[in-house]
Amino acid sequence: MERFYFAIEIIDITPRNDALTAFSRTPVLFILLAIAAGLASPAWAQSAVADGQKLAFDRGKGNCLTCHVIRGGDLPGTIGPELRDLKAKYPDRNELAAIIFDETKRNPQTMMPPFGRNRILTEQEISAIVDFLQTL
Amino acid sequence: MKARASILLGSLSAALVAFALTSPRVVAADKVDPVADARAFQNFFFQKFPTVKHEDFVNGPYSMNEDMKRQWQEKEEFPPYEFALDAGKEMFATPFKNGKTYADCFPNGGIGIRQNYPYFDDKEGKVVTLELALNRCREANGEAPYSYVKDEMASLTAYMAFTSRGKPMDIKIPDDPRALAAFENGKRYFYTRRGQMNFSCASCHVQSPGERIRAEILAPALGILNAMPIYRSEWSGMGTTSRRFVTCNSQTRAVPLEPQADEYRDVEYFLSYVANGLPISGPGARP
Ligand code: HEC
Ligand code: HEC
Repeated sequence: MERFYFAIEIIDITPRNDALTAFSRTPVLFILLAIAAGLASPAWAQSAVADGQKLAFDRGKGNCLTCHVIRGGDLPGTIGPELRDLKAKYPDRNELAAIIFDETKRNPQTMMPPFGRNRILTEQEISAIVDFLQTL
Repeated sequence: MKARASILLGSLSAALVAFALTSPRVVAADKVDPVADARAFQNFFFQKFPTVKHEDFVNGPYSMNEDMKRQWQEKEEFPPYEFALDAGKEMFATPFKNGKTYADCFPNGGIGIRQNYPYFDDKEGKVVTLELALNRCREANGEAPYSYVKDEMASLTAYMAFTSRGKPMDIKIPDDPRALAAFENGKRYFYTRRGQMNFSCASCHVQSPGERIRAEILAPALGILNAMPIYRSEWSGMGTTSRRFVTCNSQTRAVPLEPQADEYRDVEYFLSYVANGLPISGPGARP
């Protein structure tokens, strides 16, 4: 299945500059979401983790397995590092959210797609994935 | 950790090469230097994969992985492209309605010439690929053109590649500003990031050859066209260079061009030129 990595639909090129529009409200939203996650009941958090895992594994969404080994996922790629012990490495969840939002900020040559900047994932979706990543 | 460090290092040096190849020359800003580019390009791969024999780079993902290579060599005993090869041979020998044949359209009757395509046509001022030349041959003889992506076109190019196996790629860039511009344009297309995923061709085939993207092992950009056309199980059939370009673009959510669009012709010119000296290995078979 040559369709292994990304969904087949063809989407128009997203203008590079959408970072400008997306960025202004990002920090506030992330903080709000972080607070919400912090205050949430364990049951709520549980479902965010499950949602995050689904989003991370979904070929039409995060499709993180294309490049990363992730516990619980099949047929991972080897382009990125295995995703594990991330809570120790990035104690601040905003760091993880920023990597998913646009890793080219840290590393302009990275292969990792700018999921937030290019609107592949919404901020809520990124936040759920961060919840999931913190359990790895 | 170690794996990670080497991945990062690998992409760093890839980045340097990509940078060296794409950044406008600071000193001689408008000097296009294909000879220097090809040398840098080849050296990058030779240094990144010191154990891969130079002539092996033309075997795509198989050059990167011993297990896969073994499976492939077993498969080559009954190659899945054989039917296309037979069909291509027959088509090549069958006259058009006007009595002429493909052989009349090509130097040396079309035999053993794959390594010279694409070439720069100075009358048209553009790059002419083998697929394009085949359809032009048909049209000049009153026949309808074939689809660029598979079937008949793949059979014809499979046969022409087969008669050229082992010959070193030998692409010429005449001292003509339009030819140099075509080369430069192909190079630019190859290194430009595009689409929602923000990948360039180089992201996958320069930065990450040998890595798995899901279950597939990425082919190195060096010699990446020498094995075309290829049989792929996923396609349950053959695909041409045009098909592969369109597929790579659309699977990464970038807008594909029309087969044989000027930019694809230029990319083919660039990728073929930097593979000069490496043997034709087509037609190929892929998992
Ligand atoms: C096409 C490849 C690709 C895809 C798809 C991808 N990544 Fe990455 N990712 C990388 C690479 C390569 C790195 C290494 C760092 C760099 O390149 O800057 C990385 C690094 C990371 C890191 C930092 C890891 C560490 O140990 O420092 C995290 C976290 C991460 N990715 C999460 C994700 C998540 C979550 C997804 C899916 C939503 C995803 N990645 C999808 C290629 C990818
Ligand atoms: C996100 C990854 C990705 C990007 C971007 C990409 N490709 Fe590919 N390409 C692949 C995969 C996967 C294959 C099938 C496995 C292989 O052979 O590398 C492939 C195969 C190929 C092949 C056939 C190689 C062989 O020996 O089977 C060619 C030629 C090729 N790509 C050219 C291109 C060009 C030109 C571009 C840019 C327009 C491009 N690719 C962009 C992933 C990519």
